[in-house]
Amino acid sequence: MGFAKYMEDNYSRYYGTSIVRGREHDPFARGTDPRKEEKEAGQMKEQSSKLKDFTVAEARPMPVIVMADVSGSMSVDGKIEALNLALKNMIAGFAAESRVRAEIQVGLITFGGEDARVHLPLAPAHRISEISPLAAAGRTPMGAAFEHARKLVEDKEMISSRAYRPVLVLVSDGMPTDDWEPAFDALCRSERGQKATRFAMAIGADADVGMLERFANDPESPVFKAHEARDIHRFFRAVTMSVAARSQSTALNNNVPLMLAEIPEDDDLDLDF
Amino acid sequence: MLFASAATVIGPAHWEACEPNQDAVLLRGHRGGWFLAVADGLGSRQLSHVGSRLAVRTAYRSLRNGLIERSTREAIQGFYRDWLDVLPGKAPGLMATTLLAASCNRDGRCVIAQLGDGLALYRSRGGFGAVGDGRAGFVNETAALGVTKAFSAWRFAEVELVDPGDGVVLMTDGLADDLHPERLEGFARKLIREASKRGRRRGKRWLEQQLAVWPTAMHADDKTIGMICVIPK
Repeated sequence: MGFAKYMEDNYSRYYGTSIVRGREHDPFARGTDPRKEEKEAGQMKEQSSKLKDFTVAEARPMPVIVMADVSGSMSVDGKIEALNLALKNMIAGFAAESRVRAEIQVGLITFGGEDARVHLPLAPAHRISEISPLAAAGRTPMGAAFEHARKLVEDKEMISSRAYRPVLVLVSDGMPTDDWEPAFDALCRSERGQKATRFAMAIGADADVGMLERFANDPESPVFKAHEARDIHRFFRAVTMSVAARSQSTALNNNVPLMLAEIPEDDDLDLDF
Repeated sequence: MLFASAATVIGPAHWEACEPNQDAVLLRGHRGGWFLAVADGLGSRQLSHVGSRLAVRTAYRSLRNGLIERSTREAIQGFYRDWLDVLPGKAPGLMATTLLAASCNRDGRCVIAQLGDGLALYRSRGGFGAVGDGRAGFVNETAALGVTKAFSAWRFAEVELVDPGDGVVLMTDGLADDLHPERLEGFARKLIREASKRGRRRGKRWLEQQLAVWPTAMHADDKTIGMICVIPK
């Protein structure tokens, strides 16, 4: 066995199963010129990949899909205005995140009147320049929203298998007025829908809390009950923090619960107690 | 003549969090052939970096103990029990890991086994293929040692590496999930050509460099790749 192979075998045994560490901790590299090492490190950084033709350039997506009640009852007490502002701030919050390890995408499905519709197609948050305000009118076709959501989550063209588990957010202030249960079951049992993280907010006293509790599937994030407009803001700020925290973590498919207690009331002074 | 090379690089997410590389790789010569195993510890499991390292070592030990000569089910069962036995403590779920392994004898007969995500590609006698089905769910969802007991979750292939350019490439999902599905054959050919023409040590360094400058935006995952291929004598 020649000297070169001896050193290679010692190097290999030292590192066991080929864990690569920084050269500054490498005893086999001691005594080398640090300027030469810095130059090599710089050269490596400048070196471009030879595999660009075979790899997807875009970051892995993390979809956030909001299903929002825009029935007539949302037009009172400032609810729809609060919802519009909260959604706008949530999208801006995602777009401003700089330390994420995934591309946060946002889609919005509204249900009001006779049907549900895709108000905002799924798109990267940083590319959403504005969102047209929601208007409240009509009945509460929540089943139609579940059907839209199921189709979107199961669509492998829209949400590829590279994507992290999506987050579904349902907000409502009333009872569904269509035949919602089959569509709800289909969403919760679909191959990909059952893996999504689901948060829910009940707005006001008339919301169907029981149904929302069936929808929400994170035991650490039960249905949030909003009693006034500013609660809507708090909920969406918690959703923003949860998704951002998850996208910065080392385990991006793990849920981060909604930390509503950590969201200060808007009226609170900035005091440490 | 058979050539082999492998490399692993810790991902930016674990590097910045001062956490260990959860991937593991083992490449050993064996009776004129080669044995290669790569494993990816599950991100959410506390000690999965331990599980992955023990998985690749136990897989090689199983080969040396002749497990591969038994029926496939017996071999997998024997290996799995050996892995459970070497785990410190009795919480295999905390050390859950995927595993991809390829054993190639001196005549080029190659057996490939896979549990969980990642990708095992092969070129053989002018044909190209991948072991297992594509991913149906989302990224980072996978079968794994310590989680999955079903034998049906394992995927196998037997190929013959005969002509120059024939080879097997194993990789963890830190790379596999960022590849264009329709360009996998080109990817395998490029890797085999570029790594093998550099020799073993420089080939490994070239692979490490490619993993370190991975072109996908915001890539975070640990990355591990290995290959066994035929080169001209």
